[in-house]
This record gives sequence, C-alpha cells and structure tokens, in this order.
Amino acid sequence: MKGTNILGLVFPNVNDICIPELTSKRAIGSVPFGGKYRLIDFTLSNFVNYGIDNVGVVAEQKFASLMDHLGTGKAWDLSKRRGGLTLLSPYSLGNESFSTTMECMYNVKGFIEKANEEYVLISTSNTVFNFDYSKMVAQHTDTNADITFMYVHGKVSKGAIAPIIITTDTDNKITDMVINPRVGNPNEAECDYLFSSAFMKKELFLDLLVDCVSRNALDFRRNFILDNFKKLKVYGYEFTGYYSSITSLDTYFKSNMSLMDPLVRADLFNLDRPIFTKVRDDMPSKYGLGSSVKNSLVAQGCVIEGEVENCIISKGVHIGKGAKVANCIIMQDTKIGENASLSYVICDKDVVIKNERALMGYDTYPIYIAKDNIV
Amino acid sequence: MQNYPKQEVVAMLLAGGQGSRLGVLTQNIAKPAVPFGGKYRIIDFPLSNCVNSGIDEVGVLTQYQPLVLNEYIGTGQPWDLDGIFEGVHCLSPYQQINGAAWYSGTANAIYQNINYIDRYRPEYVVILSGDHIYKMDYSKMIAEHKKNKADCTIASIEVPLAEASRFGILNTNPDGSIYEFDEKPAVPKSTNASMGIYVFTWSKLRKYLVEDAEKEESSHDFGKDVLPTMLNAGERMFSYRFEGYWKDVGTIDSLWEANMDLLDPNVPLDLSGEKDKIYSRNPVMPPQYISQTAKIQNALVADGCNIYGEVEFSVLFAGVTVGVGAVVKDSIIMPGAVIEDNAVIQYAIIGENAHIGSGAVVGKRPEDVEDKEQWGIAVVGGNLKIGKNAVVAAKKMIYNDVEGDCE
Repeated sequence: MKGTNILGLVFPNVNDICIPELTSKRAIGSVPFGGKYRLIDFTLSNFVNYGIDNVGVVAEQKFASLMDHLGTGKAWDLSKRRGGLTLLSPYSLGNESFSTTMECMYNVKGFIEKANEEYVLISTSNTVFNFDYSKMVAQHTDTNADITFMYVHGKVSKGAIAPIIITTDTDNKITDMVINPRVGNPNEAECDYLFSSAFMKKELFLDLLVDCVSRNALDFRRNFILDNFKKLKVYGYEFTGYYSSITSLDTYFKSNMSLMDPLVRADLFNLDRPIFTKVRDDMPSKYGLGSSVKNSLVAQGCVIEGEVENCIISKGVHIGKGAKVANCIIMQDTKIGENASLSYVICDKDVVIKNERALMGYDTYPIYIAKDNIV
Repeated sequence: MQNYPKQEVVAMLLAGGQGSRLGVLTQNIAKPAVPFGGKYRIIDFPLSNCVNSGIDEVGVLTQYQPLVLNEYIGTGQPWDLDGIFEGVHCLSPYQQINGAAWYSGTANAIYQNINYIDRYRPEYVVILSGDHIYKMDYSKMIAEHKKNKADCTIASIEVPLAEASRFGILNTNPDGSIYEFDEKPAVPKSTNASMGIYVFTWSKLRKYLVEDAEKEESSHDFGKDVLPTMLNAGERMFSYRFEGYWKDVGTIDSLWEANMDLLDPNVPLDLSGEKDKIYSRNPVMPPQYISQTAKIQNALVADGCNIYGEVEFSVLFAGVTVGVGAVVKDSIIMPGAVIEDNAVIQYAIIGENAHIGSGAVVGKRPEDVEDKEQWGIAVVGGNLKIGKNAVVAAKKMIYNDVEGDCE
C-alpha cells in the first residue's frame, strides 16, 4: 500500500534546545548533516518514498534557513498541484499563540481539517534513519490500533529531552509509558523508547488535539500522549534498522562519524529508498596534487589540497595546501587556510580558518565554530 | 492557437548526430548525452550557456537514439528551462501532410521546424552544436551581430596553423566581415576557425532555408550549402572572435583530453563557483567515501563514489566503486562503473555501469608500448563485464563482454 491516504506532518523545531550551538539561527530540522543533507531530509524522504505526497512542515521559529532549504519542495518531488509541501509558519493563519508545539498544531488545525487524507503521520525531524513506513502502517491495520508509535530499543541518546520509555506486551501493545523515569537511568540501561513518529486517524488526532488545548493541557508528551494512551488502543512498532537521534552536540558528532561505516551507509542510503536533498549544482570535488584523504566522506564542490582524515567534508569546502584536518565536521563553503591544523572541530557554514591556525578539541568535546566566523 | 510571447532570440541546438567516431560510447545514446567532466553530460554546456546568456527558448533537435537525451532534458527544470511559455523543447522529426522525412542535414533540421521558431516571432536565431565543451556568453555575440547589422555571424577561434586544415577556416576583411569560407583547406590562409556556432537574423535565414529546401542537389547542410549561398548572394556575414576554452569532443582522444583538461589548473575552463555555472541533473546519492586504504591525487570525483584503491589523474562520475588495491590512472570512469579489487585501469574510458573484474587490466601507459602506433585510449562500452584477470589492450574498443579466468 502506498501512503497516498496519509497526511504527513513534520515538526522541524521539536528538540531545538538539545543542540543550542547548531540551532541558534536555525531549526533543528535544517541542521546540516553528512556533508550534503539537512536533518529533515531523512524524515521527508521516508515520507515520499512511501508515497505520502501531502506534507505540512509545522515551523515554530527560526525557519528562514528551513524555507531556503525546502523551497517549493521540488527536490523531494513535493512540488505538486494537489498537496505537496506546505510550510506552516507561525502567524500564517493570524493566530498569535504558538509558544508550544501543541499550540502550533492547533493553529494549523484548518490545514489538517482541509486535507482529504484519512490518516496522519506525525514526526520529529532530529532523526537519521531510512524506513519503509508501509510496515508500520500494515501493523497498525492488522492490530486495529488507534495510535501506533514507532520505537527503538537501546540506550536513550545523550541529551534527549523527556524521552518516553515504554513497555509492550508480546503483541506490541503498549502497556506502560513513562517520561524520563528516575529508576533505571535510560542513558545507561537499554530500553524501548519512542522514536520519530506516530500514526493515527486524522479525526482522532484532531479530537485529542482540540481536547487538550481546550483544557489548556499544552504539553505534547505529557498531555497528548501520556494522558490519552490508557484510554485508547496504542501499539508500538519497533524500528530495527540503523538510527540515530540527534539530541546533543556529542550525538551529532558521533552520528556523523558513524557514516564512515559502510554498513551504516548501505542501510541509510538504500538505493530503493533514496534520501533526497536540495540540489546545488556543485562541480565534482577536486583532489589536488599532494593531497591525502583517508576515511572521509566528501561532498561535491570541494577543493582539497591538504591532508584529511576521519572527516565529514561538506559541499564547497576548500582545504588549503599543507593543512591537516582530522576528526572534524566541516560544513559547507568553509575555507581552511594553508598549513592550518584542526582536530575534533565542528566548523559551521562559511567559516574561514586562516593560514597556520591550530585548533584542537577532544573526542568527547569537539570545538564548535559558529557560522560566518573568521578564525 | 495560443499566442506565445515574442522572444528576441531562439536557440536551436543540433543534437541529432550519431557521433560515430565515439564508437561504443554512442552505441545507444546520442553524442550530446555522453557523460562529461564527472557529473555532466555534454549538452549541459550549450544548455547552460543559453540560460547564462539570457536565452529562454531552446529547441533541441534530436534524431539518433533520443531516449536518454529526452529523459535527461525532461522538463528542462535543472536549467530553469521550464517556463510557462518558454523553455527547452525536444524536436524530433515528425510526419507531415506530404509524407515523413528524417532530418537530412543540419539546415534541413531547422527547415522542418520553421513553424516552431515562427511561434516566438524571434529577431535572431542562434544555431548551436551539441558536442562542444566551452563556456560562452552568446549575448555578446548577438550584440556584435546587431552592431554590424549582420545577417549572419559565425563564432570563430584561433587554432594552431598546423591544425587549421582540420577546420572550416573563415577568411575575413579587417572589419571582421567574411569574404571566403575555406572548408578544411590544404593550405590555410588564416587560423580563424569556425566553431559551428551561428547567429542569424531570422527573416534572412528563413528565406534561405526555404530556398535551400527546394534545391534537389543540396545536401541541406549549413557549412556546405546555406552559408556559401548566403555569402555568394552578398549577405552581410561576420566572424565573431571567441577567446577562451573550446573543445570539440567528437573523438575518443578529444573526449579524453577535454576531461583531463579539467584537472589542469592552467586550462581556462573553471567549473567552480556561482558565476556562469554549468547546470546538470544531479545524482541522488550520498557524498563520496574515501577509505583508509585509498590514495587519491589530482582527480575529480562525484557523489556516490566509494574509493578504496588508488586514483590519479582521473575523472570519476557518480556512483563509481574502486576496490582495494585497484589502480585508476589517467582514465575516465563513467557513472555507476565498478572497478573490482586489484584491477588496473590506465589511459582508458570505462562506460556507464561497466563492471571490471578483479585483477583485470584495461589500457596501457604510452611509455609501456613499444610500437607507438598501437597505443591509444582503451574504451569499454557501458554495461559490459570484463572478467577476472582479463586484459584489454591499449587503443582497443570493447563492444562485448570479455571473459576472464574461470574460478
């Protein structure tokens, strides 16, 4: 079954506070990832690869970069006569209360009501994974569930805000849900916790939403999910592929680096379900005479004349002669001068590192250099 | 009939030729669709030049193997040529009331599409080829055409005297007006070679095309028929001198050289940066991965490559895999090709999605060949398999699978 009867809703600002460094001027959904992507690309691509072609992106704040990235939605095949991609920004309907995700959803109630689709699939965007949603939807139908939440098994990623830990029975029915329990610290013990998305009938979604807002119960996790799950048939779908939840600068760094693993790339960049992103028409990357690149992921449009090892090198980066760059994430169009030396550094976009500069972070604490800075 | 807004200039891109000199590379695709420069196809250059010159209406004349070319051009969106009224249109030969005919020559191809051009009521028509690599601002040439009140302006480039006899030579007066065409002259009078890029005043060209179509003896070619007729009739024809990089990639050697030129910092063809960008359809693939075992120097590499071996002086297109211990030197590896472990590729062009088995050897360095006559670029056609430890000699062109060692 293709997801044409499903309205997709993405929340690009949920979890912004997890990485304040990278989200000071952008939504977490538009944080660069893996050399050429933005985090939201994974969620959007998963949606469209399942045939969901009506997607609302519910922005709360700081969405200029996101708008630039999404454009008309063409890069995801979401530039359509019917449906397609709609960026739902605050004030777009004249309402003024948008301080919580719930209020933002409530403000775009009209958009949701107007959609012809019978179901909604709601999702965060700080997640990196490649998933065939038909499996989750099939389970939802088979179990006759009211709501199906996706969950993963493992340690809760460091820095996660209010993770919801669940207990399921053998049929995957969720029997208990707790937020950030004190006993059994989820950062240390493996557990089942909610990840990325939830699927339900649109009418149910609207009923629960209106009910919460009318009672001024505005916390999505506590009020929408926890207050309701016992009244309904709520199931979990366990996602077992490669995943990463970006919840801190540390997890951001580690999940970028995990792309060096060929098995991770094979899973994440599955040929049958490509990850789409905005196109920039860069030329192929140029490796100069005397350059040396080892164990690195390099996007197009780069000119590399120095030494690079264990790095993510994004679109349009220049690395000067004699420069040594190791264990770094270098975001797009950053210029690294000759003989500069960087280790464990995350350089945001358009940074200039002048000749001979040396910067060194540590594996558990990479240095972050904000956009447009000159070092 | 829909009334199309007037376009001052319409470009017509000749993309129907077979490109037989490229052999196996154009067996199933038209020459303009041949991959070039790591992520482009040849046609990206004239198409992008049009857009960067402010020409919004481009007719692409297709005839030979148009499937890949048509698919590639699609709606024209990558070049912003998908406007409401104007954009890129693929024009194939079609059946008419008095019968069906293939495009019998370059001029005939334009003649058969007079109706298409007329819809836009252009002042000028630019005729372009689909097999040249260059960046050019056609608007400057059109401005020159207007200034000279010319009927036809032909772009030209300075070529070395020794090579001039391979080109059509334009002999001009001091004001740039042409007094003689010399097609591949044995003793060239000048080194001013035609680039096959023409600007015509449409009303004039239209008249000559109609007249030419009625001539039984004409081969309906611009260079052989239409241009000489116009010159003999005393029309105002000018040469427009182009300064910059220009290369006809009609042969294996020139295609290989033009790719290698991109690696040479002294060659004045810069594809980086935002200015006069060459647009193309981009692969939906992750960034390239360069492994711990890789050694990569002086190379152009596109998205989706996985490099475990050694790559030097080479151009790698999207999605190429180079295995551990494999060596790729002075070669062009087209999209999706796989070079297995320990294979050695030197001075070669490997076609799209070809598979080179482990330990296979394709091509040779010129210094390793005693008889220089026997040396040349080795070419493996698309989708072919070269077996384990098989050897493909220099200059060979491979049309069929080559068996390797049995396991």
